[in-house]
Amino acid sequence: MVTVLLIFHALVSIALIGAVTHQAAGTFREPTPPQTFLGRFAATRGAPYTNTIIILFLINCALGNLVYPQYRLDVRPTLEDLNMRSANGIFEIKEHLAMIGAFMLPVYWLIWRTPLIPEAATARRWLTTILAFIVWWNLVVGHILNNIRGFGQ
Amino acid sequence: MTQGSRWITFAYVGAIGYMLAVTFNWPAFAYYPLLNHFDLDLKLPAKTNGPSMLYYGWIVTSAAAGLVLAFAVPKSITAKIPLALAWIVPLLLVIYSFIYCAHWFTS
Repeated sequence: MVTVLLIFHALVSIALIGAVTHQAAGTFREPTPPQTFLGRFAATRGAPYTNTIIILFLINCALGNLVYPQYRLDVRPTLEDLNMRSANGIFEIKEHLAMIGAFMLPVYWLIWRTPLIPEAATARRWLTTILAFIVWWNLVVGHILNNIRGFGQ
Repeated sequence: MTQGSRWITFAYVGAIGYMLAVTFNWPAFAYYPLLNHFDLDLKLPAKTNGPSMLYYGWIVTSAAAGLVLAFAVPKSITAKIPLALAWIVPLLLVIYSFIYCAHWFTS
């Protein structure tokens, strides 16, 4: 069951990373017609992504919280036995970043609410970028730790 | 932004409160995954109860603080919160998380 939840956790993370990266990139876009791949990637209206990102973020936090006890019982003691302190450290950061991001979601929702407030453009850009960083960090760290422990162990 | 003022207070107090709860170790309770048991006692003996988890307790502490202050702080005050804090606060908290966890990366 935990393995199923862990895979679902990863799949939701991948959907979330796509959505939030797209939205964050869109906040940096120059108002010119896109000509490059990156330009086309960023040429998106960010606001319609907002509710999806919030729902995916909360689902992912819930999934992470569900599998966390198994991590505490099985994975962390192994890492401690192997003296892999850095691995435990990056996970600790992951759990803190997840909660910082989750608590900031109401503000994120308000600044992305349509019609968009022009004065909130800077806040939209940087808060979305911070959320994107959190999602990237958490996905990469989760992937690293899953690979350390090994699948189905 | 003023229409969501309670949510704004909840968000800032929750996010800042979470890192305070972690730093000063203020969990509302501990969870003992081996026993699938929640307990107000944070230090049950690990030999018989297994490891404790404080993460859920920190979340509840900060969410409770956020909820209480969301209703306690007047909307007139929340309306004065600068928009820039929407990204400055989480940025500082992210940086602080890395600093707080730095001890894991030193021998």
